[in-house]
Amino acid sequence: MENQSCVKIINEWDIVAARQLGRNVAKDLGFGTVDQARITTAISELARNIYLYAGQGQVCIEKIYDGGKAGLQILAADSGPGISDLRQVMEDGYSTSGGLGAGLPGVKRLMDEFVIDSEPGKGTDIKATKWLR
Amino acid sequence: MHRNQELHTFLVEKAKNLTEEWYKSLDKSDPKGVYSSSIPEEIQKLKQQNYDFHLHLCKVFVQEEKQFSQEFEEWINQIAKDEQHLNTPVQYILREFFHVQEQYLCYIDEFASIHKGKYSHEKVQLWQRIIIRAFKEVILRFVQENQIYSEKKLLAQQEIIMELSSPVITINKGAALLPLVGDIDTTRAKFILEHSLNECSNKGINHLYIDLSGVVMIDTMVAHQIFQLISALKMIGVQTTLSGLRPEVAQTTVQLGLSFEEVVIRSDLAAALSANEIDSVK
Repeated sequence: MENQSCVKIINEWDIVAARQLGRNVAKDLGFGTVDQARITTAISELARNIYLYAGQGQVCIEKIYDGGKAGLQILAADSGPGISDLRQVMEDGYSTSGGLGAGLPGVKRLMDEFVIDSEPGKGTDIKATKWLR
Repeated sequence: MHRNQELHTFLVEKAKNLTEEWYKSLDKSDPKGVYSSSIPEEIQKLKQQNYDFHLHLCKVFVQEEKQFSQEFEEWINQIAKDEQHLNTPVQYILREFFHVQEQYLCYIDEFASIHKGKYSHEKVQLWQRIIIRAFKEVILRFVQENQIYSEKKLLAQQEIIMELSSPVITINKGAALLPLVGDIDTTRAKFILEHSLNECSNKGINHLYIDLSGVVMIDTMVAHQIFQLISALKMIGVQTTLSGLRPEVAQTTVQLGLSFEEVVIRSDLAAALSANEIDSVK
């Protein structure tokens, strides 16, 4: 698809690559510097989750259009262990890695829309969207 | 048996020719690398390396396999470590290996036609197979060595970049600056942590100014590493002041839910430095 580009997350450098891709697409769509920073940070969090918990997966960045408005959608998918308690990971301060536990709820706040779909043993799909205002 | 003293002598006598012919037929239009060099010393060295190769390779027809490989090893290592060859794309080097292989096959044909009737067709074919096998071995060993040296070189460069990217600069007695620039990943974060702790303790620093104006993004990992650095520094008696957080980074960080409450922050480095001066006057 022309409007979609993906980065496979296999090692730590791929997180940087995903971030750069996101920043470029965001710039291209005309997002301001603050939104660019929000988008890159969100991508960084999602890509790092894949790297840390699933080992590998993929981050896709898509330009989307809905009626008159344009937006950027991040699709982060992996076939890792999945998340058994979705409500718990969406709570602030929850972390299994000894990190700050701001990950997923933080991403949700940074973006306009956030959908998470996860099945233990199968993997996790996250769709996060930012609309251009 | 494939060994043949006569063929060996024939090839050794032709070695100079092989080198000259090979060099003459080189495509000098390579955008980079050892083959398109126009520096006389480099050309001389390349020819010598090529000539040495012939001396080694011809021995395939007189030496035991084990000894042959052992003696060849030195040449392979030398070429793999050679700066000019390291700067040559590996596809060009492989191209020249095959180029020289072709020369050998032609020379064996020539040898066979000089000694028409003396050696059977099967014998000649066997020699050609031996040549191809010897080249295969040398090429594989070369690529392996070349890979090892390239990786070492890359690693050394990465280390240099790491060291350059987290300098602890002494400002005045007891105070130093750590400017952070660019993307921070876990490897770099670990290096920054170790490096700045050591530097602060060696240089007797009690106040470290960490300037983040070159950091374009702070996610939870980066923040976590900065907090760890601050706590570790605190434990060796070093106070820290952060400065230069970009506005967009500040907004993102707050939304992400990260709290910098326990950290001393100033808008920019100048403010951080003058704030400290006022403190010390008091």
